[in-house]
Amino acid sequence: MADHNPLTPAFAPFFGMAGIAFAMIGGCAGAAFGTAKSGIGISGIGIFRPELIMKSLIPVVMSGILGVYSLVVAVLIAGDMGPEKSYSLFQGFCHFGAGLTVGLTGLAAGYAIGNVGDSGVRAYMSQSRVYVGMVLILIFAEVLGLYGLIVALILNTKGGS
Amino acid sequence: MATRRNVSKEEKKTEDASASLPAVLPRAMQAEKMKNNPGPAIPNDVLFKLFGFTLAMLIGPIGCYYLSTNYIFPGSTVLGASIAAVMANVVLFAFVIVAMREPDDDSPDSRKNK
Repeated sequence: MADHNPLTPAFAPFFGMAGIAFAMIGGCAGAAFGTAKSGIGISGIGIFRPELIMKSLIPVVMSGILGVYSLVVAVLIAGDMGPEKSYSLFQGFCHFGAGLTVGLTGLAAGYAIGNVGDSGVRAYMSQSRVYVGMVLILIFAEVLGLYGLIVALILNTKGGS
Repeated sequence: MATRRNVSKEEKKTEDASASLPAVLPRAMQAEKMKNNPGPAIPNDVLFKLFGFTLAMLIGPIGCYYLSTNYIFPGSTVLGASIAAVMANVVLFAFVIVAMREPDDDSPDSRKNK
């Protein structure tokens, strides 16, 4: 170990890898919950009003975007790591924090999108004025995931090489 | 054969009197209806929309990320990530606008009549 340095210990990449895993797991769990919960609602109203299915797919698209956020952060973190690069413990913690941030905000936003999508789509079946409100609520819920993405990008630049 | 002959008549009946039919038929009637009338074919524009948005969601953001990090702004990964996030939101807003412009009349086959 010629380049043994207390700032770049051998276990530092563990935290970066954990950040990648947390980003993907949390974000995809949120996206899956949002898709499944609102998909139940869409299937429920599709029986009665099939012409509303296309308009009701918005929560599913928003859940997909949560998955894209976590995918972007995971790709970013993975691009900063490599067997030849020196990887400091600070970088590892930054990447861990970035992954945790985007993963948990994605989980929260996916939970909100799932519940709002399910109930909102069912309400939209009988009252069409709910639609604009539902879209606004969904956008506000989805912006929570965007905040997580922004903080994760900032953390990633802090830890950048 | 009586049920087979009813196909076109029943279809016409559902078109003008769908509101009077109960929304949820009994299970036997449902099965019979499905057998006689498997439903209208999915219109082509809906299929194009579906495949267009699916493709845009699949390859749009991540494709923009790699395009910008490799060719447009090489070396700046954060810019590429921001472009990818913006791209995902562009797809979302395009979907919202397309969905808003969708007709939402009460008759289930307003699109067919237009």
